[in-house]
Amino acid sequence: MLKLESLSIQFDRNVVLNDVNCDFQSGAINTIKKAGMLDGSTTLMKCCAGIMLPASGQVFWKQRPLPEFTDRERFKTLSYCYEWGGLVSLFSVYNNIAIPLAYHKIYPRNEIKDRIGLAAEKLDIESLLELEPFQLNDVQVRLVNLARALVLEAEVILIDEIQSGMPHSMVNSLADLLLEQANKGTTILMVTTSGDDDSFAQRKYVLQDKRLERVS
Amino acid sequence: MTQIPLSFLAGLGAFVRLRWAYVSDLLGLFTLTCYQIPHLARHSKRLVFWMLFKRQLYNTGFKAAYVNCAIATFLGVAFADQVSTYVQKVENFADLFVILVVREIAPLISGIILIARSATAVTAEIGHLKLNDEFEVLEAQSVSPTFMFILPIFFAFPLSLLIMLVYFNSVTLLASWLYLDWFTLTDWQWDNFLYAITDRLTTGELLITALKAVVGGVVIGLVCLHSGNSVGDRFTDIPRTISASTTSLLFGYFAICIGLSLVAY
Repeated sequence: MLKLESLSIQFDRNVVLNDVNCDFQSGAINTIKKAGMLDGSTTLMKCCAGIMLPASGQVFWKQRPLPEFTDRERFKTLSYCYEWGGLVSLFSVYNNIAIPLAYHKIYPRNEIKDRIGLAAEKLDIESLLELEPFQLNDVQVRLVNLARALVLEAEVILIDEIQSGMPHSMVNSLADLLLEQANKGTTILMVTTSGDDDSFAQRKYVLQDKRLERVS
Repeated sequence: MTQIPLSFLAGLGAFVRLRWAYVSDLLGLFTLTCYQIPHLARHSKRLVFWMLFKRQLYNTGFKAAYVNCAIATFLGVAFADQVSTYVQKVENFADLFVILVVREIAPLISGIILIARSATAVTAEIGHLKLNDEFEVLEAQSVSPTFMFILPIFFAFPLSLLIMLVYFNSVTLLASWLYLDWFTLTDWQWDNFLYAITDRLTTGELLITALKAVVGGVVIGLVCLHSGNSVGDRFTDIPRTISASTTSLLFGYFAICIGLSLVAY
């Protein structure tokens, strides 16, 4: 279970989140609705992914605090999908997905290729694999980020505002894909903004007044 | 009256403090890089390193070959033309060739080419990665940016400079002999000419030249990586950083080459 315990985030004197406590449902889709522009949702997701450290409090996965995870364990467990960017501009799309897998020796080389092909097919991005990141639009960049998480089969997928700019049909097929992933036992935490569809989520939260509140 | 020396001392102190902080940063970067070297023992990481190292070596060592060879040809011709006017014996020509070209000019020009072609490119590349938070992207994948971006450059730059020195000396030598053979009245045979030069290339001579390449390459690599990483949030930081870094590199590299020559010879 992904658990936040007394989590506070602040930049200098600017408190972004204050004393957040939450148990996200495992093997389900959890959504966090943004309440404003600078509400700290991305920062919260990065703390959950272990990319940023909170000012105080802890993030736990299966009762273990994230700082106790080794690099490889953290990589295998938590995958963060950026809302913007998230790809290294020196590498092709394929290498952006493959290099971290090779670096951590998650799968053998030939298996990496097969798995990337499979994930790309699911997200309909096979034609993007040989391109460079600068050749992608923002929706394609977010799909590549998601493909990286799917290839990895991370236990927790943290998705930041993936729906912006997507047509309705794409959002529906994305929801089906995420539900299928959640049914396999993956915990999905997803930030949504106004206008995004979160009807497929099992648990919903809203981020307002520097706190996370469960709404359903 | 007392304010002038005090402000001078304050300025001097600030200068020394800044320089010391810069050198400490470079030493820190060097230590951080050395700390990553043991990771190369792991096969999976070595594969990733090898891919990035080959790319860097190709860009710095191989793609610089044509400019290096062209400058070496011009230098060889100019050197042969000038020196042959004053020198009649092949042994004397060889002495001057080793002292001027092998010891001093080849390391300096090869270093300048490395700085102008590759160090500026690496500074821009690292600056761009920093500006776009792409180091964080690697950290999000639990991948060390030092391993991915710094280690390949740390190894590729000295090796490239060493390769460039070999090109440069070989091409200058050949160009000199061809010029002497075709356009002057000297009747030096290639075998004698080559023997006279190689006879003067002692092990010490080769070691000092190699040391210039290795120390120079490492310093050039570290300085441009450090400069790239110092880019802030503005796009204009990148050209400013390249300009400042190139100036530091030229000073630093010349100091290393001339310092090593003074100590060794």
